[in-house]
Amino acid sequence: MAEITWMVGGPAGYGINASGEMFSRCFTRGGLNVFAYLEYPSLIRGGHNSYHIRVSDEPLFSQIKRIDLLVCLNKETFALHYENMSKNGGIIFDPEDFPIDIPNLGKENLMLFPVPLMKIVKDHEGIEIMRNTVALGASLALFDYPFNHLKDLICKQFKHKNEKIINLNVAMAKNGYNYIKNNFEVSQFPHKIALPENKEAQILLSGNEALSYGAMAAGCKFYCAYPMTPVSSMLTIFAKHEEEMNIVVKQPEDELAAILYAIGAGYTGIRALVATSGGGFALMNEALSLAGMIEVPLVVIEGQRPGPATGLPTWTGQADLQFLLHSGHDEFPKMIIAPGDVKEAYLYIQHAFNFAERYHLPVLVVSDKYLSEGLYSAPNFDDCKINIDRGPVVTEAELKNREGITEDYPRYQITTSGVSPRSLPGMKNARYIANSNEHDELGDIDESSEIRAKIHAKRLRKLETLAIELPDPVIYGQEKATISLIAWGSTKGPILEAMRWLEEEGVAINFIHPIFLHPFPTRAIKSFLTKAKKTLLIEGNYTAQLGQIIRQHTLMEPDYQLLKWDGRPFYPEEIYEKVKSLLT
Amino acid sequence: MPIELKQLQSKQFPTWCPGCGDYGIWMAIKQAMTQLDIPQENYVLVSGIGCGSKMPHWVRTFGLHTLHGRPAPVASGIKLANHKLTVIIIGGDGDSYGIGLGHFTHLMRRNYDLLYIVENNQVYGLTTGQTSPTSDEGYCSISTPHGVLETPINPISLSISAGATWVGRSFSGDIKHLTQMIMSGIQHKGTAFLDILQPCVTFNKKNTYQWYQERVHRLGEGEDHHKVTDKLAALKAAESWEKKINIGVYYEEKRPTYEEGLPQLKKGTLVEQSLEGIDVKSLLDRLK
Repeated sequence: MAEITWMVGGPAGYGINASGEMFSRCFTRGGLNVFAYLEYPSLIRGGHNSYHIRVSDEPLFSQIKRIDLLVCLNKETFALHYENMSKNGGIIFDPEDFPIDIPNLGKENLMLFPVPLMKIVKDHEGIEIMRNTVALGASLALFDYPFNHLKDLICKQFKHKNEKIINLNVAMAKNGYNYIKNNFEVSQFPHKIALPENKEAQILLSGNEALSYGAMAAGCKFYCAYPMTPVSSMLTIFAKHEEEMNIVVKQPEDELAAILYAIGAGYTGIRALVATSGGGFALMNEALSLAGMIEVPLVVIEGQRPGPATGLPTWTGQADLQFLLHSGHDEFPKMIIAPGDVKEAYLYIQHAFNFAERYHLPVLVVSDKYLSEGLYSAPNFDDCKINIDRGPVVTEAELKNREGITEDYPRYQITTSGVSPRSLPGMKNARYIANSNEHDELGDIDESSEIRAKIHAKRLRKLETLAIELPDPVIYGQEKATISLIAWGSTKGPILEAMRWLEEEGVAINFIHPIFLHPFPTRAIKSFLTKAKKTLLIEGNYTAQLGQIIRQHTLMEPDYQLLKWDGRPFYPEEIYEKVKSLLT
Repeated sequence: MPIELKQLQSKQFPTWCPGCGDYGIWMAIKQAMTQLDIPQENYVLVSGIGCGSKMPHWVRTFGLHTLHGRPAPVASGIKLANHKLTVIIIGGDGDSYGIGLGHFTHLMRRNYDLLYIVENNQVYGLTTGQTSPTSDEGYCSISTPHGVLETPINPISLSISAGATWVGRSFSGDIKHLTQMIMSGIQHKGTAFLDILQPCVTFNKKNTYQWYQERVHRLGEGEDHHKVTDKLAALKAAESWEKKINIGVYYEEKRPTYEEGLPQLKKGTLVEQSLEGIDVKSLLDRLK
């Protein structure tokens, strides 16, 4: 497996994000695999941003700690990251900006590539932000990677600007590229990645993009959200395509309104989507309970970030699982689905809409900053389209038969499955009232003990019916393992990466990754735990929230835990080390 | 074919106190519906929580009885999903000017084509008589035994300032006027806001039928030459309260509705759109 890792770092507002994406696409366009992760503080200017990108000819599941080539747009980047440099790793920096003194750092084998980034920019009448572009060109030269993809990407990015600007940017990249070729012996830099032959370009997308396009594929017609990291980009993605895809996008006054708009839209008969993070979801709790009560289909995405309160707005964590599980007052059926990567995000958001409309309940799809903003490459999603199932809606023929009937439509008819076919406003002979108060089969307020008992049970029965059809979680790795891992959501990536290294060393390991977390796959988890020799739970929170659910449902407990709550994602190195320590 | 009054009759009878102002509003809503040529199944009544918010139970149209303060965003979502529906929001003063004030104010500036009716009785009835955002200064209630210290919300000037394109006020003791106002509000293209003076006979012993009757004055009648397109005149008329309360249309302007501004809705409602054959492949290809 050939692979390289690259990082660009600098203050916010210096185009780190755009550079990282462009660098990544140079390789996905060549058919290579990429994983990219951006870290940044919650501010617009200053601070420290870094984009860490990993490229390989084999599929990638996550980032790793190692850096082969580090582009320092300020001195802080070097100070913060040089410790993770690989042997003979390279540093691109501007010697006019700051000097780097290697002997004092104990990292003698670092290779310095001083490039006068600012001078090159000035000599060609460019502006400061173009230093990135010079550095991109310089980086590709060191990796011995062809220049043409970068040129195409620059042309694409600036296609709405005039030719002068396009040419200027291409020239910046080319100057950086040539500066390296002319001033250094490139072959001495050992980290290389070859352009594969005849490989098709891959797509490169974030979890937010996967969720958005998956929702569009599922026929989502209304997207409503109040901006909140890490799901803010979904609002931009939907807005960008609203006309072409015939979708209405609304940014209302707050998260209370966002979910209520979606409830109104869902009640009227379209597929509506809301996305937020923990704090916004806290505001949505009241309305979530309403959706449960009036049995309106609804899909809510919760992109987790560390709290409490404002917490670490631009960092990652997995500490909202118990909150999601217990969201909304009293008891009502809801689903929790936690995809682990972009492919699952694209696929399971489609499932979410089908479940919401087939069972008339809110479906919570959980992401986190790591998945939502991490960039993953994929060949395509051609095998990820599922059939749209609108669920039980009263038919025209049934309504025709109701002509002359003076009683309202029994929207909340008591059924064995718990699901009652709905009618939609505008339908003749189909009137009912969707009622936040406890109600009878017609929706009218009824506080009798008999009706309350029956209707409440009817609602909750839907989840029991639904649980029967859910597939068992996927188990990765060996059938017979010396160690068995359990984790949920985006932690899947670093685990699969660590498993690759452990399997190469002959460790028999497996891993269960439940995507449907509520209703909980009790039987499958119990069977996995029973068969396992040694079990390790891995979660991005302090209190082992999945562990609590496992104990609640199976009366069993994983033997060991690897927990993390520092706002950073799991690194496969940490998982590898933990597993190794448990095997000795 | 116009709706007959009996078609709007639901099986239950309202649970309001005898003499409640809500009865007049109930009657006027139904009367207005019988005089407009809108199919019964196209009406959706969206209410909040409170005595008056039970209205959708007793008018036989599609109804959505939401949460306290929350009918406006729910109604907005309904309107965007199917803009051919006639959407009427009904809430009380607590619902609209208290807990739901944020939603109320934002709704006014958006100009969705719908009618927002507020049953304004200046007291919290369902919770047995606490102060409301429109309670008069000095008003004594079980939650303000020494009298209200705050200045009341002025819903008329608030809605005009926020950008409502039709603002009116009526009185539940004048069903004829009220019916007319509800009809005009429904017919107005854009967001119509109607504040209704509504006595709470059980808990509000100050703002009684008689109290309102002595003060209500119809805008534009007699010597009054109120022009509904004059925003400043409307705001001035909204200031009058203790001695004279103006009823009628305060303000009206023509402005494109929010729905008209959405090119996505030109071909029809979102509900009518087919979900067959949606292809996002070309969008994904752009991620290369």
